[in-house]
Amino acid sequence: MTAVRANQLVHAYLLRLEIELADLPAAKRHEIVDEIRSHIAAERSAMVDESDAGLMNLLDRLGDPAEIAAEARSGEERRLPAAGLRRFRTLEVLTLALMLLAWPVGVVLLWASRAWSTREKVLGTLLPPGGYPGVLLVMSTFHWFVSMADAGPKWGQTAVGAVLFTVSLLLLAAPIGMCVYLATRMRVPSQQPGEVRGSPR
Amino acid sequence: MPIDGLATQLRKGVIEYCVLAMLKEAPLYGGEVIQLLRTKGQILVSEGTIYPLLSRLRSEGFVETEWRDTPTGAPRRYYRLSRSGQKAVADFRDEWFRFRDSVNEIFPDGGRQK
Repeated sequence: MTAVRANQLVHAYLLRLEIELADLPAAKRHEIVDEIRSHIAAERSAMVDESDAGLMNLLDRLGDPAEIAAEARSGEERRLPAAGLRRFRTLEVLTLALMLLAWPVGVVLLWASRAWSTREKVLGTLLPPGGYPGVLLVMSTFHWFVSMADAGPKWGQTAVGAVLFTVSLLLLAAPIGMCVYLATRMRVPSQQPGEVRGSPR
Repeated sequence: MPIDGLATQLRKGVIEYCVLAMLKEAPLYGGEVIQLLRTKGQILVSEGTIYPLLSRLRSEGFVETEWRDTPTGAPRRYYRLSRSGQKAVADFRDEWFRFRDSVNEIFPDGGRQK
């Protein structure tokens, strides 16, 4: 076979592959075509004496470009549910953020979600109720305790101050802590039942 | 069902795990994956399909890739098993042996035709 003829064969094969892969994202298409181009180049350079039959067998073994494209497309289709799953995660993250900042909306989203069990939803709703707005509301009553203690003895003031300080720390940490807890308990809802977790299917 | 279609169907769900399992030993480039599969009988028919398959495994995070220089010619993209890939291989192995045992119980003559 002349080098020109051989190059024509390879070029035609790669062109057909490009056409078959046309509906795929460009990055994917380039990756596959580049890999197959260098595969052909490596196999050709390993041939002691490149013959017509040798090169045609090489292309035959690679398979019909339509078949390669079908495999690539099946991969893209399988990735679609994964994209849906990411959208779902965005919704859960939004839920957790709203639990902190706009508690009533966050709680509605929490109960509407299938990512958490009823037990987790109850815990998430009650510990602490109100998110940060609720915490601030509770803390706004503290001046009342302080003014009560001010009327009493010195040790009473110190004790009330220490207790209020601890409670404040707990209250401030609670919404964040609950969000972290809910984030770790979150289940991916769009997983097929019975599917092996972490499988490439 | 034509026997050709049957073999394709059987291969489909298995081949990506076979590739992952092979990468468990050492990182390989596409040509090496193909050569190894060639020695394992009829698992791979169209060798070119291995490239979209590897690309998908990478997109899904089961393998990682790195370019390595070769003494002769262009650099090659090597595929290495990731942590989630290792887990997928382990999960598949358990599932596969259970499945195989069940099928073998239904075909107790070891596949020989009567």
